[in-house]
Order: sequence, then structure tokens, then C-alpha cells
Amino acid sequence: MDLDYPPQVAEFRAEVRAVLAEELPDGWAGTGAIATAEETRAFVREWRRTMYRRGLLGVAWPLEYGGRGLTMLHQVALVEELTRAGLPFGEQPADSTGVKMLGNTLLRFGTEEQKRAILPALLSGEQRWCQGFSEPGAGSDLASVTTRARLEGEEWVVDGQKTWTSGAHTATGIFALVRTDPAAPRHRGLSFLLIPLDQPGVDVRPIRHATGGTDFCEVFFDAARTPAGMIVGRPGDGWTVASVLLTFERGEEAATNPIHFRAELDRLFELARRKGRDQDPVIRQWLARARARVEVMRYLGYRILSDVMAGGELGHASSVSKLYWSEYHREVTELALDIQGLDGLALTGKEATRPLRTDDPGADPSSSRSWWNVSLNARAGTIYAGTSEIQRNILAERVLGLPREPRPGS
Amino acid sequence: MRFRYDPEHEDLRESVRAFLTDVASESAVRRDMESDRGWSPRSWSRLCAELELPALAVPEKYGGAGGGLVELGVVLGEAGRSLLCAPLLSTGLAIQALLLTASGDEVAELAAGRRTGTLALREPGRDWDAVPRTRAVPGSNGWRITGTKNWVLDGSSADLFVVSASTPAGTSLFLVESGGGVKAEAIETVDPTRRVARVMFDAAPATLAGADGATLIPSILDTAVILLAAEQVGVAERCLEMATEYARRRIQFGRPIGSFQAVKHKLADVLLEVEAARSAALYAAYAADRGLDVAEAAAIAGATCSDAALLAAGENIQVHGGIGMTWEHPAHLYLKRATVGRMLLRHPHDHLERLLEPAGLPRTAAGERGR
Repeated sequence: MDLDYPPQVAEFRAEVRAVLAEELPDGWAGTGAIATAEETRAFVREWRRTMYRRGLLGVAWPLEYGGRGLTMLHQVALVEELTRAGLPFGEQPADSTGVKMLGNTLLRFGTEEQKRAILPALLSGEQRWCQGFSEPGAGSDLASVTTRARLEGEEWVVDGQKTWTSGAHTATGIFALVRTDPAAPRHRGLSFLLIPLDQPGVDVRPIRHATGGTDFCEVFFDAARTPAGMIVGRPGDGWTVASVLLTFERGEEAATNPIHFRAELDRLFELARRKGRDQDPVIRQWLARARARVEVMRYLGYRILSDVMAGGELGHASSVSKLYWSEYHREVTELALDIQGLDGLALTGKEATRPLRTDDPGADPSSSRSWWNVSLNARAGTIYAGTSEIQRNILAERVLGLPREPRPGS
Repeated sequence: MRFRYDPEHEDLRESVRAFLTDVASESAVRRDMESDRGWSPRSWSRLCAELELPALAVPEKYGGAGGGLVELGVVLGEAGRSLLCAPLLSTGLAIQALLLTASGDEVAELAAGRRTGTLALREPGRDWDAVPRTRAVPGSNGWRITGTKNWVLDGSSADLFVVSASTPAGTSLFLVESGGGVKAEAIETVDPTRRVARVMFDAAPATLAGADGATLIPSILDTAVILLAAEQVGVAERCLEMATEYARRRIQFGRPIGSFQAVKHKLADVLLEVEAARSAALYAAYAADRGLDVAEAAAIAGATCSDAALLAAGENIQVHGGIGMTWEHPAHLYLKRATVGRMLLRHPHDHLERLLEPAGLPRTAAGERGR
């Protein structure tokens, strides 16, 4: 038992802090504190360029692909420092789906050619990749995807449709789960393909979200093409590659979620004070419960990081973590609406500038618009990346070993 | 970064579990809970002699193994899993209290298992840390204590009491031997697997153990909350295992009930709280051993583990259906242990309320009146 980071990571953390001190403007209070949403987005674009210039993207990647050859724990220390300073890791969602998810997946499964062609371009920002997993007929039942690809000479030809594709409207490519062998059993007929978006066979249509924003899209493929070498893993490996990709989020989230949720809860405490609700015994119980839950997230995070460090399978803590934080977030954002009462449903103040989870650090605790946006984000949180119902099935079947649901006709 | 048990902890857990399979089998628990004393001196002496459990979290200079609350927590988790009837928590807490007051001889006696001890802090109808109505008066032959304590764990069988009492100078802690001036009456509680007593002190001879009770008592209570939380994790884990095992083999509508999502999701929700409890209890024990944010970690563990144990015990009965409501099945014993444990030291609402002031939301006088 030991919660300390190794000395090399502590040194790196000091380096990150020094870079932040040099690069950030005086009086910096987090992206949430920037006056307007427009200015926030402009700042983040510039900040991403700064991170690239200072070598802070892909620190755990090998040197030959533009990384710094450090460890996963260095990356975790980096995102902790960024989060504490009220800064994002690059631009979202592109750097999450690109640098974090696709980049790490290629390092594990990609060919040398794929790694050289894509990894440095992900870091420079020249390439931005989005994730194409869900389809109109394949949501929770992801293995039933019907978008298909067939090899014609030196190219894959793709037909079908993906949906809920975050950032497709600004991306240059999509990594997609497609059916390459219709005769094989459900999971085994799938492959993981890299498809450029700028071509006649691809049509990207933004979807307007309940918040009014358009951060995700539908992507239509009509004889879209990609070179034969743009498959990750072998044909039929798609399910395995996609499953591993999803675990890359876990380690970093384990470290950053508790920081974001703690900062949000501090804003909620401040809101309760400003609204004069902080002495209401019912509200106090809910606030205290939230406080305990955020701390438990921190402890679960330590367990997940320990698993990551040990290099083995992620354990139970990682399986429960998504359900835990997403259900917590629904509860705490409802509490924010309760604390404000009817007047909180009149929208004032700056909008939330992150499409997922909490608003940015430094956000105004009195912005009813921010709390409303975030409460909608929280409702999405129990749906994306595996609904709470699917998470419970996974926990019951894989952790507790309960029997699978019998399939019709089986 | 290594927030998980070390191999030595896993070894300890394994040996305690193997031992308790025998000493605290279900039939042994039922026999002990119905005995006069509520625990078996023979089993207790084996726990002390063969596993040296009371000496685990005692410094080597008092004949202990030099462990901390993390190690003792591993043992209490196993005690919770099996519903062990033994003065382990009571004696363990007396030892931890005496370590804070540096009463070395008594610690060595308790650690060696030659005697048992317990805390006598709570008074009828009052909080554990309220200023005691029990009085200590100095005399020519030392101190004399008069007053009544209740919810004294294993109070009818304890040899040594760590008692809080008011003196003209404030609250202090005293050591009182069972015998003259001490009368214990068993209290019938919801939980037959843990004995508690009302203890009346009538000019009982006492030794001053720690003068500064106002500092010592909150710290002792944090330790108590952390160790009870570790026990509750064991209770919760065992209930989840029992429910899962039953859901796998009980067939209704032609299939195991555990294949229905209504049952799966219920058990997944229990797992979620069990994992939260496991993390909270481990962190709190670690925080206590390392001197980190103990008070906060104890309150979080107290609230999280208490509720997890009750949830798991209740859902275990629900999944078992009718059989879970019978005397024959052990499910009710876990529910009873969880019900008392949840409120024993402090209600979960009180644990939670304690988190707010350090986090910047103190209760004002107006808020206090509104309670």
C-alpha cells in the first residue's frame, strides 16, 4: 500500500507545472472563467497548439512517433495537473477519440505503416479522428452492426450508417466497426477500419442535441473507400480491438473525474450558500452524500490506477466506475436544480462549454444556464459508452458470474 | 501508486478465513450466540494463541505484531463475513484507546489474550462523544467513578473497561477493572451475534489513563468507525456472495433467476455499493495508519459501509425469497448484524453531516435551531 507517485513522475509533474506557469495568462482561473463560450473555444484551440509546441501531447508514446517515451503514470500526472489548472487535454472531442483512443489502439494493434502515417499527424492536429461504433439499429446491442465493407482489389468499399459520432463534422477520418464477414457469428464477422471522411462516398450530417448544440453527427457511407491496409488487426478482430480501445479511457478518467466532480461540487456548495439553502437539513444531507461519493470516486480511482500500474487486467473498481460516476452525476445535477428552485429554470449566465460531464473549472456557480446544460449532459452520461443497464448486465455477468440472458431461439 | 492489499495482507486474510471456517462456522455462530456469554472462551483463546489476532495492531514493544488498522481491518472483514462471535472488536478498540494513552502493561495483557477489554463511553440516550454525566472523583486511594454507560460491547464479560468520565478539569479516560463497584446487565438487542451491556459504576476504583479526553475520544471514535466499517465490508461481501450463489442455482420459469435482468440489476447495484464500501474502508484504514485526513475518511467509510452492509443484507433476503425469512437460514443474522452496526457508533446521517463543516458549510446557529 502506497499512494505516492514514483520520483520520476513527481519530477515530470514539476515540469508540467512550470510550463503552465509560463504559458498561462496572469490571474488564470480556468477555462470556465473566460467570459463567453466563443472566447473559451478560441482559447482552447490556441491552448492545444501550445500543448503540442511544449511536447505535452502523447507523452507516453514512443519517440519515433512524436511522443516522449514516458509511462502511463506520467500521462496521468499530466492530465491531473491540467485538470487542476482548469485546462482541457487538447481540444475535445477530437483529442479524446484521436490521441487518447485511436492513438493508443494503433500503438497496440497498428501496423508500422499505420503508426507512421497517423500518430505524428494526430499530435500535430493535422488529422482528427472520430469514433464510428453505434448505428441506428445497433446501440446497446453493438455486435449487431450492419455497416458492411468488402474488399475490392486494393480497397475496402463501405456501405451503411453510423450515428452518435462525436466530432465527425470537424474530423478528417473515422475509425469504424464494420461487418466484413456476414457469414461469421455476430462478434467474429466484425473488423476495425480506418476510413477518410473527405470523399464523395461519405455524408456527415450534424445532429442537434437536446442542449441545442451540435457536437455529434450521423455518418452515411455509400460506396465509401479506404485502402486495403487501413484495417487495424486482422479481418474479424474488430470486436477485440474495439473492446481494448474502450479501456484506454479508464486510467486517465480515474484520475481526472474526481477532480472535475470535486470542483463542480465546490461550485454547488457555493451556489447553496448564495441561494441561502445551505442550512436546509434535507439539502445538507444530499450535499454531504455527494461529497462522500466524490471521495469514493477518488478511492476507486486509486484502485484503477493501481491496476493500470500493475499492467494486468483492470479489476472490479474499473468495472463499477462508469456506473458509479454517471449515476452520481444525474443525482448531483438534479440537486443543483433543486437548490435553485423555479428561478433556476430561467436561463441566465454563461452556457456550459464542455459537452460531457461537468462544466469547466472556474465556471460561475450562479449560472443557471450552466447547471441546466450540465444536468442534460448528466442524462447523456447514463447512456453513452454503455448505458447504465448495459453496465449492470456487464457487472452481473462478468464480475458476479450470473448466467447470460437467454437469446430468443437459442 | 499501489492502492491494493499487499501479498502479506492476502496471506493474513487467507489464514484467518481458513481458521474461521472452523471456529465461526454457521453452527458455531448459532451455538455461541445462544450461549450465556455470547462467545466461546475456547475459540477465543485459540484466536489469541494460534493467530494472535488481538496483538496484530499493537507495537512490538508491547508484544504485538506491529501492524496497523489496515491489517486489523483485514481481520475484522473476515470476522464480519463469518459473523464471528468473539470480543475481538471490543478488545481491539480498548487496545487502540490504551495505545493513545500509553497504558503499556494493560495493552500487553489484552494483546496476549490473557484478558478482554472494552470501551464504556456512551451514556443512555446520548452521543458517544457527549460530555459524560459519569463522574470521576479523586480520593486518597485513587479515583472513584460513578455513572451508567450503555451499548458497552461485550460489557458483561469484559475484564477491563476504558471509561469516559467528567472531572473538575474536564473529560478524561479511566481504566476500571471488572469487580467491586461495577455491575453489568445484558441488553437484549436486535443482533444476537454481538453482545452489549449496560454497565453501572458505583464508586468503582479507577486509574487515570488519559487526562485530555476531549482530544482522545474523537480520535478513538474515528478508529472505532474505521474498524466497524471494515467489519461491515465483510458482512456486505458475504451477503452479496450468498445472493449471487443462490441466484445462479435457483430455477424459476425454467431458468436460473440470476439470468433475469430484474435480479441481475439488483445485484449489480449491490456490487456497486460493496465496491464503494471496500474502497472507503481501505482508504480510511490507510489514512489512519499514515496520519492523513482521518476524520473525513472515517466519516465517509462509516456512512458508505453502513449503508452498503444493510443494502446487501436486505437484498440477500429478497433474492432468497421465503427461505431468506426463515430462522434456519443465516440471512436474518446478517441483516441483524448490519442493522445494529449501521447505527451503533453514529447514524449515517451524522457521519455525513460531519463532512460539511470541514468542506466549508458549517451549520450556523440558525441552522442548529432548525434541527
